[in-house]
Amino acid sequence: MNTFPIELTALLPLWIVVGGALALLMLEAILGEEGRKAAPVLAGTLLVLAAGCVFHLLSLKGMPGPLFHGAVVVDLYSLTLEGICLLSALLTCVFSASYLRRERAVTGEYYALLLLAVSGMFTLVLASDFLTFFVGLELMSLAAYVLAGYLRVQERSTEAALKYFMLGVFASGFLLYGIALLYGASGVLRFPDLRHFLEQGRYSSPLVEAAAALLVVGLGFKAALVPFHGWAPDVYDGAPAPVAALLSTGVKTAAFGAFTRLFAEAFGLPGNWVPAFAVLAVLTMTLGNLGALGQESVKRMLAYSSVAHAGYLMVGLSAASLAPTDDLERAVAFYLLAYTLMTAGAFGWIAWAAGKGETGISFEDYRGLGLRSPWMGLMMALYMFSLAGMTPTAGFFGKYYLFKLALDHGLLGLVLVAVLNSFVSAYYYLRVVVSLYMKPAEGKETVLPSPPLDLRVAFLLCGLGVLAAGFLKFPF
Amino acid sequence: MNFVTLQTLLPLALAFLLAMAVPAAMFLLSALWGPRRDNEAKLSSYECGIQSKAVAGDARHHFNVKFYLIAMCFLVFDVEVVFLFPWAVLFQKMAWGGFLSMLAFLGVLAFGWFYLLKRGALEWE
Repeated sequence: MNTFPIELTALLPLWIVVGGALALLMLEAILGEEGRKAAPVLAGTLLVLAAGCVFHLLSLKGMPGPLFHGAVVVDLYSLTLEGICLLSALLTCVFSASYLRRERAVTGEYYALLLLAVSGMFTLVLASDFLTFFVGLELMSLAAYVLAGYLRVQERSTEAALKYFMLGVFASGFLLYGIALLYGASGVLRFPDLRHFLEQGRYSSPLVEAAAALLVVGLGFKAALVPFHGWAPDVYDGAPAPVAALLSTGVKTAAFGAFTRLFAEAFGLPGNWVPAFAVLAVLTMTLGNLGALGQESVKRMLAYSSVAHAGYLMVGLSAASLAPTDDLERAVAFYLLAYTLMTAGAFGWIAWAAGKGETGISFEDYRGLGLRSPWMGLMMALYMFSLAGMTPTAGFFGKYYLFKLALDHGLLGLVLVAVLNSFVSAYYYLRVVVSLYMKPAEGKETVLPSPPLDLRVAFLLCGLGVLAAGFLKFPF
Repeated sequence: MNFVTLQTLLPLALAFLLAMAVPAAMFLLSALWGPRRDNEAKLSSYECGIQSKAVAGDARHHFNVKFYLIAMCFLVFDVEVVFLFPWAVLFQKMAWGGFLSMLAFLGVLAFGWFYLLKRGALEWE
């Protein structure tokens, strides 16, 4: 049993994040006010440290592979996803610092919960076993429920938390039922074992089919796919804006990352799942975009846009049974990176621009703002161009890889629908840009207060990332 | 796949019968020979720590939120013990790996307890 060292080093990012969460709690409990002030800095430092570990692990020649008797797997895919989750958490951490100060709601627990959510995301993307998978999902979700209701005196925030909790618990129930059925049918819990079991030609077992359907429902809830998306707009809209950034990027990255691994590696998707996924993709894209079209609040528009983007991801996933697993995982991971940069940036921008109590979140509130605060305007415009999928931005490349994957494997009709949907989405994304630059302000000429340095760096990181991500060398 | 035969279930069945028989016998014996001196409070349903409906009225009123807090804290530490049982059974097989894992688990729990204590969650006033 002398296997501890590799498990300690290969999972170091996880240990850092978990230890950090505990340390943050202790800091506040022992030091009180002083610890509270140090919390964001400490949380940010630990996240950067964890990111450093992830980069180091990515640069290693050989991957550690399965650890803890196959409970987790450390490979390029899980490490890349860890990196994206860390990026999302780091951005959230920076956005939160000034946001919480403005709302007078600074606590150390907030950052501890943030780190706990990240540790859940890590566990989820590392999971190679249904139990680890479930523990990770719950760890992430429980922290996310509390974060969504963090501003507990605000009605919208508590409403968001309640809805998120209720539906999230339901989803977990579905998922657990699916896992139980699968275990009943196969007697195994590890993904490779399940793959092996299914390859012996017992696909057609109705128990396995039912389990897979339940898993799709459970994960569909978590990833906000359309028949199960009802909570998403209310939660992303009601949660504090920096938390919305985390929920719509980090949490989604982990959920989709695990979704992809589960279906690509464990199920190996039999062919008759293509139509099911394709239908989910079409519904999710179309209803997400239609919902976003009619919104007057930019924050709520972004919430619907998040649903629509889950639909684009499903377009790629529809090819899961046809395309090589590596290609699929690469396309999904890249899209999640691009999506994290632009969506987190946009939510963070709103967190700053909406003012105290998040009062200014409608299109009208941003009229002419781009001319009065050119730097801030430029950043938001960049995120919007990327979300719409304009050519040089990460949003374009992300969609390109996903759609090409589907196209290469004969899903022409699905890709056509996806492209049409992208055109529709351009309308509401560009509406923000039009508001920022082409409409004169009515009445009050608000000038945004200049953001502090850390916030500027975060916006710039998102902006430059959106421009550069498409040209970077991807780790795998 | 291990098939469970009826013989292996026999001890379980015996334990079940015994478990049914003992309380039944006790009820029967006390009903037959026990003294009966009833009053109102004694006949009302017993509720832990809260006065019964006969004395305090309807149960549907606001409880102090501290009850729930204490209950939740209790649950966490209570369930912890459940994890200790299977660990203790397999303790010899798992050697140091198992010992250290459980130490880490208990460490996190002890940490949680310390946090509760420091934040004053266990103080009633």
